[in-house]
Amino acid sequence: MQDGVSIDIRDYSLWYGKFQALLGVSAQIKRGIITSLIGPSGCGKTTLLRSFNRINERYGNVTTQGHITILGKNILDSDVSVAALRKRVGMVFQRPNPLPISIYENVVFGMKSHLPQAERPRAVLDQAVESALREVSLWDALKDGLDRRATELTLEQQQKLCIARLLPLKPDIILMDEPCSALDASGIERIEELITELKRTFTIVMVTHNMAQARRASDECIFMLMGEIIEHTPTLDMFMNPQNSKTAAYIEGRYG
Amino acid sequence: MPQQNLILQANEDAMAAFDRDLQRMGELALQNLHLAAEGLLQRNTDLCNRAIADDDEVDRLEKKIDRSGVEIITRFGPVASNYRRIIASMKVSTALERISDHAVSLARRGRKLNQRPPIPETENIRPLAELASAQLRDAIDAFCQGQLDKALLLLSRDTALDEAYEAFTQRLVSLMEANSEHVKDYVDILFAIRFIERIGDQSTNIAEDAIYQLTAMDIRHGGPLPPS
Repeated sequence: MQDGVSIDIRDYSLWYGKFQALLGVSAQIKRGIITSLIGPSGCGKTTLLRSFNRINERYGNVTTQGHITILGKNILDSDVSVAALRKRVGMVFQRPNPLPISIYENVVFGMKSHLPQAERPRAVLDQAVESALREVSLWDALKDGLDRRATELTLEQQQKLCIARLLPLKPDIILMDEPCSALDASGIERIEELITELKRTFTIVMVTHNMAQARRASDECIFMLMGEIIEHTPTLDMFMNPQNSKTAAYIEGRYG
Repeated sequence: MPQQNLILQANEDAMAAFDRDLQRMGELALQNLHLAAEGLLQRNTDLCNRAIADDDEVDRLEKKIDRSGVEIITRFGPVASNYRRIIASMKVSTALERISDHAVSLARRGRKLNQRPPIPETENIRPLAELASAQLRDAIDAFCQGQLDKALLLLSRDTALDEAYEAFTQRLVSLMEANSEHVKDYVDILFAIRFIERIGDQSTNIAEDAIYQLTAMDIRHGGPLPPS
């Protein structure tokens, strides 16, 4: 795989039962930048995003073909540990989904699931909680109430917490499925700022319906339509001079 | 980790760089007018050549400002005053590029005049050049510093330059009728003051763009003026 490529997708197809949702797509997603997946509803962008940590397979009737190489390994191979994959490829969902337990326990939940007890003494967990909450700018607000239930937080704080709980596992890639769609304008602004900050450390792939968000917050965009990748370019190129008439029609608001 | 407002900062940095480029372009256009006028008045062809050579940088900045403006609009979708500032700045950069072209044309006439023996009428170009230079200086300041009062004052200032141009033109026509020996010189002077007069018009346009930028009012072609 080329240097600087985080996710290498080759001739990848996916079926839900008999319905083919992805039609032999190929793309190389670069390391350390934000890539937005855009396109009308049903185009396959969320399906593609969910392929990167194989979370689609929870639906049971999913079959795939092709290759998705992450960290030098085809993640579709039968010997891949899905648990280990999801440790390296974290995911943030549309609606914040903190566990109905304390803030502290939310942040260390992944560590407790993935690390043997000997590797996670209390001091290590404490340090991980502080570091992760600082990373998402929540530490100052929450440090005196870490035993509060996470579900009592504002939606914006919950979404930041959902990002924070990925960080102790030191993922390489963070997938975001419309991470701002449940938030108000100021929450959107602050989550976008956070995502922009995180790209210094992680590769970020984000599904968004919000064209303004894709324009201001992502470095590259992939436009999808009916299960195919139509265009993948730097964001400014796509919005200033789309090469495909279907891309132009979508970003100019003529359909979708 | 402190909240850094990276996207907001990126937007502000892009706007600041955009503003700096326009300011720099204004200074270069003003300098080129000065070099061309002094090259002609002092019979210094080196100054004329510098004005001609420096126009390349003005052309480069015009393209850069247009590119940056489109990129800022595409990426950040500005509204209200930032949006007007970008649109107006792109128009001002076109005006400054035209002004620098007029300075180049003035410098070329200067080089021609410098190759022939001096005539006293050349010195009469100086007051016109000084009026145009002062108007351009103030137009650039009014736009770049956001000075509404200065922009409003500029709207009527071009009359003095127009009247001086008309009077000088009449005098040159009379001289040509009376004295065919210096017709080439008079034609060059006639063109020179025409370029200077056009620079005055472009400065007025920049003042109009400054007023639009600051008030959202389009005062061109007799539109109502904002309260000063």
